[in-house]
Amino acid sequence: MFEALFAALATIVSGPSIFFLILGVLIGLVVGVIPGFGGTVGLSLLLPFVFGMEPVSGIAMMMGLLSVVATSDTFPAVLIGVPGSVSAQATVMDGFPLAKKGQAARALSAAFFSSLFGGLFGAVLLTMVIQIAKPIILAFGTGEMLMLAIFGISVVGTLTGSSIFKGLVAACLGMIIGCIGISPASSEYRLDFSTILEVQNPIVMYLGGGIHLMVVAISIFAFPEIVELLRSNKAVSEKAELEKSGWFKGLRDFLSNKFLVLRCSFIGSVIGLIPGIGGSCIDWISYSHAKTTVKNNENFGKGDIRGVIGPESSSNSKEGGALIPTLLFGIPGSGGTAILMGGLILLGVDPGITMVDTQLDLIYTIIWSLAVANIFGAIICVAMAKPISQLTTINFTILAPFLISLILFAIFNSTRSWGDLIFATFIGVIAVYMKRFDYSRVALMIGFVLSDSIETYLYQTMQFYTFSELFIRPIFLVLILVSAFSIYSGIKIINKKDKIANTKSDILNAKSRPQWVFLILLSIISIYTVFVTDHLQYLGKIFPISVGLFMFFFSLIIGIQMFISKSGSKVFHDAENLILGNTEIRSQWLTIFWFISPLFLSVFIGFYISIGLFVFIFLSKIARASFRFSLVSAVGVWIALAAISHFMIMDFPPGILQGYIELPWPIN
Amino acid sequence: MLKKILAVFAASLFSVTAALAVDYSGKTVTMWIPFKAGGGSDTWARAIGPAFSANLPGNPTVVVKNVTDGKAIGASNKYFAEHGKDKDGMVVFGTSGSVQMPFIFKDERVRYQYKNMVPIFASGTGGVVYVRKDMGVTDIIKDFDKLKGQKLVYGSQGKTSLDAVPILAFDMLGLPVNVVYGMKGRKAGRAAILRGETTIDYQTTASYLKHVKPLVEKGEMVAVMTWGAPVDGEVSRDPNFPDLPAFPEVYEAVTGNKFKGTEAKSWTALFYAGFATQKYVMLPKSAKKDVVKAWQNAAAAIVNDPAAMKVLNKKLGKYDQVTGSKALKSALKKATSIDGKSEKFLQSWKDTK
Repeated sequence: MFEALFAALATIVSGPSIFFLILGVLIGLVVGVIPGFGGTVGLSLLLPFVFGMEPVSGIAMMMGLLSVVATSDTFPAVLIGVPGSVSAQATVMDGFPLAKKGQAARALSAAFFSSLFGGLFGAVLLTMVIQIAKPIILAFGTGEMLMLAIFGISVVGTLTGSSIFKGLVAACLGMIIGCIGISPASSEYRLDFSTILEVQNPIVMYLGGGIHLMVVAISIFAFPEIVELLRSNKAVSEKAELEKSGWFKGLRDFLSNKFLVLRCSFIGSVIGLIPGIGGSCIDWISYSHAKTTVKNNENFGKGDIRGVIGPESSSNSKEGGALIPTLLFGIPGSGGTAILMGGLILLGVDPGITMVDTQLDLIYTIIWSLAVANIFGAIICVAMAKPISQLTTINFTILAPFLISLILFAIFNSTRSWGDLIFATFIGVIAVYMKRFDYSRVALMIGFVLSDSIETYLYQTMQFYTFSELFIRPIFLVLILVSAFSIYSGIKIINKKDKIANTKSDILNAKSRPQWVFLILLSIISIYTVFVTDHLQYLGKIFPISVGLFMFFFSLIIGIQMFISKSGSKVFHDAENLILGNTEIRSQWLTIFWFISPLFLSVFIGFYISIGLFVFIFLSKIARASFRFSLVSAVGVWIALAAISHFMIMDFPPGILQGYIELPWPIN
Repeated sequence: MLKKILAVFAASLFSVTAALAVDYSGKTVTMWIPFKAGGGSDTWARAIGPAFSANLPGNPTVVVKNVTDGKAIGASNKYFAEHGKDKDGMVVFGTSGSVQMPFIFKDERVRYQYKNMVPIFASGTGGVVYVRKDMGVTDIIKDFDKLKGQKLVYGSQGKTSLDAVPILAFDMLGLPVNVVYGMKGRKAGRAAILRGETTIDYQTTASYLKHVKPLVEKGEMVAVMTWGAPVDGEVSRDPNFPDLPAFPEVYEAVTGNKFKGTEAKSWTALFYAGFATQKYVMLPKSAKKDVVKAWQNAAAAIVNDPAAMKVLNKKLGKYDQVTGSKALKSALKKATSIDGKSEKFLQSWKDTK
């Protein structure tokens, strides 16, 4: 075994494969930095080149890319509050507040060291268990997956804001968004407006395909942050000077939290190992784990470095875990490994049961690529942390048009449909108000991510097992205990928050009319869900109707609380009250209008022209930049988009103009 | 001087005639794939893409464009909306069973018509049904009653997906199979039978050979039948598995009926659409005659390209690739048109339980 292990290392670091590995790492880092591009998109970009390559080089390149996406996606998460890929969702929670405090470099370097450790941990685990993992994976049946999903939902309690009911309403809303599209058990279309619109209407067609994870993730987190930054007209970092020894401080943070890193790496690998639960909730689980197990957790969500270290350790370790079922059974454990499998097939390598027996050398090649790529990735990122974090000292109004273009592009790239942009705007506006009234956005995200798993596994578990069969399964029982403990600690944390919330000023919690409007809107969504799913088959409607009723019930409780409470009670939390009358702050709706103005323009002149035009107008009129700077920026954005369009073989949404006049690439 | 002018004139004349014949030199031809990158259809397209590039006149760059807007149906509709009247063959369409099935089941969202398409190339596959060893079955025909008495559970993606083929087959055999929906693809179905949550499953040929055959050899699973393969217009034994009976054969043996009538016709239509000729490269009917000709010639040449065939065989199993205008037309007809009676039958079958 050891001989084969080191022979594989030799093949990786000698000869041409090391160059392909580094190439993969570089592409992976770039892909991770751009929001909306994750390992899935990156690998699919590589596929055409992989075909016909020598297997070891091809594997090295793909693994290089896949291994480091979760390292570099931390940059945008920390610097601008936008997750670079799905696995950096939780990093935003504390990473971005740290950047606001002028500690971006510290947050970044702690994150990179944690990522590095997590990645190596995943590789070691993969080496150790690949030959014995079969029974472990098979022990996780649908019952266990259901409990894992429920465990995922149970962490909402520990992550939600000061009101548990607001958190629950948000989680229900997330689940309702998750119900959009084809139902898993009855294959019916749900919540796609087909009851009121004609089936071939573009809205119905779009919603029928379901909502893409990235559309929700970006709009729910990035939209409100950017609107807020734009309104205040300041730089991300409230300090003009960044602290000097940022990256060294990050290393110290990493070292002093080594046990947290170890625990979270373990969580990441183990959950990654189980196909079917998906990587998208792992970082939330480890974030919640970090929050509940460390001492003095009051600063979580306001810039605690441990809130960065936890999810970052697990996000890289999960790839090692996810590779196990991929290589053992040909059943990928994550979105990235699914495409990796496609690539392996193109290389003539077929992952599956026989691979462990006959092609162990290739498995070791994959493991070494994972480890070596993580090292390269971390070194490059640490070196870049300091200079890149300078971005946070630039006035945000200058950065905004680029960011808005980037985000709109990232959202559009999800399914490359107009619907993505419209739906994201809708969610984004809701998210602005959720943030303002302290409805937990994390709860919405977790509800959305786990909606499908809970529905599917609940139904399948009921079909596959009787109660008595289920309750003799040890892992199932352990997971029930874990979930119960998670709910318990959630309640404890909320009680603690209660005390803090009640001591806050009355100004923050003053009564306001928009609160009622928002609550009524949420209740309408819940009632709508119940009514339009009622005609479906039993298996298709039971889940959305239950969720809808729960959501209505929770909204009702909030309504009653608001009705009987006096002004100043925490149920009236409204962040807007604090800035009332401050003339330096821009109006909320005006900033939202800027955000969507390029979309509005696109309707007429197409996405491509409108984005460049938007950058130019915004920079010269609102940011008051020089004419030359604005023009150069607009042209730069155009060139970048054209390059992407060419390499990714993608068309941008056309407008009415393009319907009348035939235009050359790329504006057609 | 005159000579020079004449030469230029002749050259331009020559280039005009050359332009009349199909020539893709320096151009980029797009294969429109209504599925995401990395999936089965995408891998298939990327395997034949370079082969088309090598064999089309002028050796154009062939790129795969994954269109996922509105899922398979929406992306296919979009192809027809945007390229349904193209003449030059610059954008070709790649389909798969998941595009054919909603068409056969008359999904209201479908806006594409196969009769408006010209097939260029078609690839097929097969499927193998297997059960867990503890069912105690070795020969489906001899042990049929034993199998019928077992707790049969099948994990499915949905009744109007490719799973219509197995589910209708179980129904026709009279097997009391409890179909549990919500599986995300055949891989999830395979995971479920490995865990022992389901007891009967099928995999397409390539996946069977790779992932299930080793288990059969170890004695954990037992292969019982295949869906068959088309031989001279009939569904006969699959040449990849000559020892396993094909479904029509099993049907005749255990029910005592001939494999005829509406049910059999409906199943055969589903089988052609989902397996026998599952993946097509197509051009819109509006394409010019010599464009179609150029593509069909290139397709014929691909069958002789060992590199492309190696990937195709690995991906789909060793089945004949269909090329040539006549064979393709009859294959497409089988895969996408069913008689009124079968259509009615399938509509009512779809809604039962």
